[in-house]
Amino acid sequence: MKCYIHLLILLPGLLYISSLLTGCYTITRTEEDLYTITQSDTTIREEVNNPPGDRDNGTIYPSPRTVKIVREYVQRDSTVERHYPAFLRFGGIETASFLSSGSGDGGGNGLFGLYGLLNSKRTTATKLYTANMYRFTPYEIRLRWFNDSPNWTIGTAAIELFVRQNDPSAEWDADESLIGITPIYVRKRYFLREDPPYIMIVPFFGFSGPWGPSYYVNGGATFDVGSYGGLNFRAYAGYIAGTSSLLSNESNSGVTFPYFGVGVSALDFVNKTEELFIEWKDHDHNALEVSGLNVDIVRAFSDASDPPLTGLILRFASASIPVPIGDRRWFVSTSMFNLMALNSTDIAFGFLPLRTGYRLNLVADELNLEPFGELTYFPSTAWHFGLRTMLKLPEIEQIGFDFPMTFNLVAGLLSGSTNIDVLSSFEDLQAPNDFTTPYIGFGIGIGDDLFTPEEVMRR
Amino acid sequence: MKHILSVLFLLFTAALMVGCDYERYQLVVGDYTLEGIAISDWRDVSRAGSFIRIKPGGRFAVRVDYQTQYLTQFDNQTQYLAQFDMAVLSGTGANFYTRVVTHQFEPTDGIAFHYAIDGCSVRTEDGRRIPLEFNADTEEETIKILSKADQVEFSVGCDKLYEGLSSLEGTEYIIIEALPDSELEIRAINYFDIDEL
Repeated sequence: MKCYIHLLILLPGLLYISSLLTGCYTITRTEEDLYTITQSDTTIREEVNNPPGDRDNGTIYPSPRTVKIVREYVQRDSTVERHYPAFLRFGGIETASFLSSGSGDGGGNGLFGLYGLLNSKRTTATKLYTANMYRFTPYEIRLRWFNDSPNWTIGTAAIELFVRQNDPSAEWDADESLIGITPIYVRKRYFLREDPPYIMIVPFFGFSGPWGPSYYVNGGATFDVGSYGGLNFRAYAGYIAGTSSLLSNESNSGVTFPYFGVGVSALDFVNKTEELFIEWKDHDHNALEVSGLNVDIVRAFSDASDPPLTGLILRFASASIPVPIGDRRWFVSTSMFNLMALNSTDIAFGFLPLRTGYRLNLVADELNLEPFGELTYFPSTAWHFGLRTMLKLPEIEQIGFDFPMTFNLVAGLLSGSTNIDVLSSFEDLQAPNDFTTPYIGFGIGIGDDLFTPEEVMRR
Repeated sequence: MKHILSVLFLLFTAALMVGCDYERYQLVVGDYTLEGIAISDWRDVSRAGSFIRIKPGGRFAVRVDYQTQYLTQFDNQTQYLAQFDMAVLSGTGANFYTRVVTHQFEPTDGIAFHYAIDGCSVRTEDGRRIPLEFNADTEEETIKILSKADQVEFSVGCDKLYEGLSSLEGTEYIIIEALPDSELEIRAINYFDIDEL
């Protein structure tokens, strides 16, 4: 259990460092046009003040006429700003599992480097994927060289981690891991499909920055499918060589291995070069919802003596893709990770659950109701049916909430098993094999962007 | 290994410096700078020594670089007297557009000065074409464009060819377009403070 507490501490830490580093990323390019209406206006005012009394003709007098000329110059400026995406790729988290050299003993981190994360300590098990990759907030921009040869990108990531396990232990020793902070990558894209989801072959070459902590070079190619609602699937083939000697007392702890595998990334948005010249407001959307984190506080009705609030439901990195039938309100959806801890015993969690639902607009586009069904299949097995009401919250830039948020009301029924027997380090958890528990609750979606079926149907 | 990677990183960074915005030019004119943007294919506009060369059909937009305007006498980028020393290297001439923007540039917008060896003309904002009794020269000439308040003037050398009024808003860019059969060379650009005219 301690291991997972450490993981829970580590994950926000990594996300925090990522957010600091990604603060340097340019997401939006702004262009301005200045328009000016200038009015030149001249007012001529003539006054004749005849002096009283008689005048003798023939005598030269000063003229009684005064002329005032006032020139006015009125300018009205207006500045028009246009906002464009500035990136070819801006991502959340990318994970992968590799077939490689190394030890096949021990639990391993499983397919996509995800499914085995919670049972990796099972030293008696064997694993197929001996290496993994985790990359936080990858970012790519246009690289214009070789006479503006198209589809080159240069990019980085806040942090990336390559692990090749040499022994049954789940610990990552210095001779098993390479860690890069803002490594540099150059990629060239060859598109096989030029409409979302893009299909492309992407050869790449990268290396860690001189600041370490590991030093390595990494070359290869990926076969990318995505992004669709920020969701991508990739196949990898590559070779990485380097050292993590700074992280170890042993100065010769080199890590070198070829790898072949598959991966997934969420909240990972890919643009073509042409899309950099389409204003944000005119961009096509292909998901009904893209969400960073949804947290709902719930009350489970499993025991009458329960306190008013008993647990939480958490979804991390979700995307809801409309099914191209009818008016695009029916969707299929998944998340990088979901946790349904309704109380201290009725708990289920899993990676990449399968979800489907239907979007109903209650009030304009602001208040929506979604009946949904969800299957979490690993490591826990659970069916989850419910209703989710989502209210779009306005962005409040003055206090730093300049990202989309929602307020949610949820009600549902969760039925399944934690599958405690497939986990490791969860001995303290008192989870029954089977439970069926209704619940109600409320919560917020952070970075939860809702799009209308009309916006999605523009495509 | 570490040192090799550090050197590799520095070399790579230096190599990347070569990559740039191919379509953007910074034109240094005395104590101020102008921003030039090839709004057609960037390959249609090239630098030839200290000159700018525009290939047939190429479009090049020029404005005062707002980042340096405070170093200059310009109060406003949307009012100017701009002066281009330009030669027609081949073909018949060029179009100069004022009171337009580069964003999704549409040649039928704004006010256009057609500078051609077979006769100059002005296309006004309402689409009327006004022929001018002047033929362009292929040799270097000075073309002046004044945009001040609602006033627009086009001059070549000392000849004021057109003086008219416009209800269009003043905008920052002058867009120079080589005619489809023409190649241009811009040899000097100057912007003057309209308050000192």
